[in-house]
Amino acid sequence: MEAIFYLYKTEWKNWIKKAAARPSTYVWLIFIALYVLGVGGSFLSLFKAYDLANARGMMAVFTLTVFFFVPGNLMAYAKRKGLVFRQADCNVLFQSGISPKKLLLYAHMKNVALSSLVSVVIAVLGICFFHIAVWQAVLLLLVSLAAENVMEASLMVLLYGNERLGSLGRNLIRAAMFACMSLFVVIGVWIYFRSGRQIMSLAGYLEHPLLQTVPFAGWYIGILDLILMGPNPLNVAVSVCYMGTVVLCAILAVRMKCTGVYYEEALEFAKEYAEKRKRSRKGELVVGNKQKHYKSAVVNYRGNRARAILYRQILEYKKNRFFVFGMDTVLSIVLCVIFSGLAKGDSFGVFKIFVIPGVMAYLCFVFASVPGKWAKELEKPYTYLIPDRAIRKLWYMTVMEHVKSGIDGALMAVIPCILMKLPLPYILMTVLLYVCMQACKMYITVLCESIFGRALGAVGKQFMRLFLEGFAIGLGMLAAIIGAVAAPEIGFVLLFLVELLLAAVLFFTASSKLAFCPGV
Amino acid sequence: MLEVNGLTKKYGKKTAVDEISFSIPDGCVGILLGPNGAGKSTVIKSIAGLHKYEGVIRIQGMDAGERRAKESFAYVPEMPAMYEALSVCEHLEFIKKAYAIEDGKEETEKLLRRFELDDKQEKLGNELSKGMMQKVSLCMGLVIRPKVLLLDEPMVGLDPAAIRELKEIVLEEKKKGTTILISTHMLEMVKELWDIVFIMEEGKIIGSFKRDEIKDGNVEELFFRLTGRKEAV
Repeated sequence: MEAIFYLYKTEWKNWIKKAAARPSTYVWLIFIALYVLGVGGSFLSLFKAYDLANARGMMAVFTLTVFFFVPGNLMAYAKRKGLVFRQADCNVLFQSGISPKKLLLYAHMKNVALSSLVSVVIAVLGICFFHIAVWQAVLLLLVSLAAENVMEASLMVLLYGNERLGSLGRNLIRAAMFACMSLFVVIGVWIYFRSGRQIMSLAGYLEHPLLQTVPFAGWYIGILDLILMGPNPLNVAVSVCYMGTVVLCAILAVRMKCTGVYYEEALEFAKEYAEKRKRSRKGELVVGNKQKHYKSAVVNYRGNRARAILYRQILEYKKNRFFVFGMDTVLSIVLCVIFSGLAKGDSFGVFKIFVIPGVMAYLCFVFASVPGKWAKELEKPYTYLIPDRAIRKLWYMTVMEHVKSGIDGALMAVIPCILMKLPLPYILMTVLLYVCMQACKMYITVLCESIFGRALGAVGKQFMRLFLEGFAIGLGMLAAIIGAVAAPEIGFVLLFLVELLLAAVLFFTASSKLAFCPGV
Repeated sequence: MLEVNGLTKKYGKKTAVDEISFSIPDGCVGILLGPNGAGKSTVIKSIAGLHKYEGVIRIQGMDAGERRAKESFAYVPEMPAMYEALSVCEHLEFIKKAYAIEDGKEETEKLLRRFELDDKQEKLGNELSKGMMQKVSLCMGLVIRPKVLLLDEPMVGLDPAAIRELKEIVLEEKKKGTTILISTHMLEMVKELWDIVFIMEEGKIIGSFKRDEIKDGNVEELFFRLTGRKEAV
């Protein structure tokens, strides 16, 4: 165990030292602080508005989070996931002779450190935001640091390290936990709609005594209820159940035989995790870890040199289950439904032509740091080796992305624009505006890679992309505001022209810099 | 013919390659030999046009950035770069289209057979092992019939049969008059191939020798003497 503590301590020390030396850490900290203040502030106003900035509101938040996290964690442990063993851990620690159970606790220590930090924050928030007494906050902290951590660690050992539980047993636990979470959500949604979309009815649901009778998650809520709301027969009974279960689980976990059968799955997960980390460091949005499966497809290359890139991409898309359609398409359809709902009334008046472009610009800005599938082209040496002009390469590398943006833009805008009774040229310009804004985002990625590729890390480049994309959108907005002073229609046309011009300028600049992307 | 004159590559303030010059005539195999971090891969990547650099690089007498120069050289990277949704044969088809190589179906099949990939033609990029990827990468380099062939640590990850095949291919290409530059830190692997060796350390060429200048072709000893190292490369 001494070796594990040494490893843990040294890693943290080095990590903190390294982070402290990087300017991007401070930028991130400021960004996170602002984000937390912003989001926290808006939640506080919401709680105040519904008279929930008190112990009752805190209980509602606890109930909501406990019912998501406890079953979620148990599902992950049953699946032998949720614990991060790195590849180095697997190669070194698994062969070190340290007991497999201790190794599980070592991996769990990272979760404990994080959850302890969250517990401290919750206790402080309880005093400042929810106006609970200091003794209540201290008790909450103690329960969370002692009982909850012991319970979680015991359940983790019992599920993750269990060698008698077959795949059927694991699947049953996962199904039961999933059913528990789903039931919790379905009942909540049902009550919300049944009561005429009243937030207060949801708060009432979260306070329902039946929830406290659910083993583990419910019993834990019961003990929190006892501390925050005072004793009643139910919360006293479930608190006793919870504490008894903590002791029982701890004894079972200590006595359970664990010889390290989990090593194989942990090794597999470590590989997946390393791949996921590698991809997310490049700024990719990583959902799921499974190896992607492709259909068989053929493509007829009509042209060569840089044009071959386009046909290769078409072939890749044809092998995808849904061709070019993906999460972007789903998001566009959802936005289409929302915009169509808004289009019924006339809440935006003459400025309605800016509603969809505004949301499009927001989307481009929010996702500016996610380079997208096409950016993989920048990592392949063949992109640069192909004997053709850079301008043709950049065009054929990105042309499918323009088509995708066109489809997404059309899905998002056409129906709502028709419902808003906007003329055809406006509809076309709205769709093209989205294509231009997405094009700017792509060309900015090329520029950032070529100019800052070696000088900045992944985070620095993400910030730079965010900044430049924000600047490009800001220029368009400025033009729109200036034009809108004369007439909203003029503002809209100016916005479109500025984004079109920017896309063209960025395209030519990016193609002149393409050869200097050091992505390989 | 490959000519490098005054090649300098800096990463910020750090000079990775410092004013190096060398040339390799047609039909010769040049070896860039040096320890890890000596700048070998940087030199190869600069020649391939993947890095900005100062200096002049000429391929077959043409500036390396020219389209006709790009048509005449192939680069096989140290880490194979595969398209995960493309099969082995689709990779080769893509490269042939990108280099406007019209036919050569038989040649391609022969290459795949030589690297024992003929039964793996339908395997996708994300289904291949590192060694297989390396073999596909080599085939992608060879299928364009290059006049200059740049191989960055080509033996790493290959099985013994593939290493033997690659050595034979290098000798065949050499006979055809192809200029070959191999970057490696494992001289043992290329001892029967080389005609000229450039020993690199800390971004500089500290010695270059032709095979006939060295007794028994033993560069290893020379390397240790020049670099002042005691351990194996």
